[in-house]
Amino acid sequence: MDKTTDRMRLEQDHLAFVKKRDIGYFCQYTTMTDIGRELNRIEKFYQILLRVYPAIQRRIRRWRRKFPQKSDRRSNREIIINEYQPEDSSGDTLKIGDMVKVLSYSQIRSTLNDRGVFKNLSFQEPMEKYCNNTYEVLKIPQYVLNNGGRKINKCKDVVILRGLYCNGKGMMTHEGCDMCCLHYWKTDWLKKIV
Amino acid sequence: MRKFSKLLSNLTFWKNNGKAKCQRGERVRISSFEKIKETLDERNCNEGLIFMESMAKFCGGDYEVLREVKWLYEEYSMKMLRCKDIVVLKDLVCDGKGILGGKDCDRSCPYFWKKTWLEKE
Repeated sequence: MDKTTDRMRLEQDHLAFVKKRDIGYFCQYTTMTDIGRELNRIEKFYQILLRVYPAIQRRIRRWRRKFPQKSDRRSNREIIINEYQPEDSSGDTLKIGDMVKVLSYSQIRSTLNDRGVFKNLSFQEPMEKYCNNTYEVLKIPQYVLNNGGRKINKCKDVVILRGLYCNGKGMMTHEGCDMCCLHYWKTDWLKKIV
Repeated sequence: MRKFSKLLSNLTFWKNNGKAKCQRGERVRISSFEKIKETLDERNCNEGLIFMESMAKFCGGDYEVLREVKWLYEEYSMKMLRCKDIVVLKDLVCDGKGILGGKDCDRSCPYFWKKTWLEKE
């Protein structure tokens, strides 16, 4: 009995402390600068060194595209034609817990612009491996904290699927980001399974 | 020479901190709320990491380690940050209730857990 009352008292104290909000923080996302520290000189230098090699590779690829060799010209002839057109968004019909199938990569790619963006939402490279598989809808976001907790964005026709975490590769550092954020999916990229 | 030795001592990502590594897929148990409460300061933080109200319901449960967090991306300053002794557990996602002044935040960020809040099975 004592244990339960102690626990209840602790929980009440905790709730009271959080409700005070005198700390000015809202969640872990907004206190990111307190959790981590900036890189020191040696770490920055090390990260620059790690970035040099892929940067050289990128330059070489760009030059190759500008001045294609004989072997590359053949591959350029293959033109991918996508006749897929996205259907009406099924955002209204989707609910939390529904099973959805992610469309194939070629179908999703046809919706993207030159920058790989569809209706202000980018399709990242690590999302490609989830195509053609079925997943559960975890959440249908409406309001989202953004820009380190300084901005609130309103979402439309966006869905979060269960267990599809970002692996953080391709971020600013060589090791990538370890935050494990969940990917956002446009409803046009999904098909509901009845 | 002193400066050089200082810089070398700051290199935390090449040396082991002495704490046990949490590998992906490993099962861990979250400590009881009372134990975690002892590690928190007056701001409800442990080394800057806030223990949120909605995290209390997961105390005492067994969960799988998704990843050990070493790098963070701070969106406002657009910089990468280094951190240590933080772990992300699978399927433990923030519900964001009441964060936006009455409205719910649907960002669904995974919770960060300090290694001191976890017990290995």
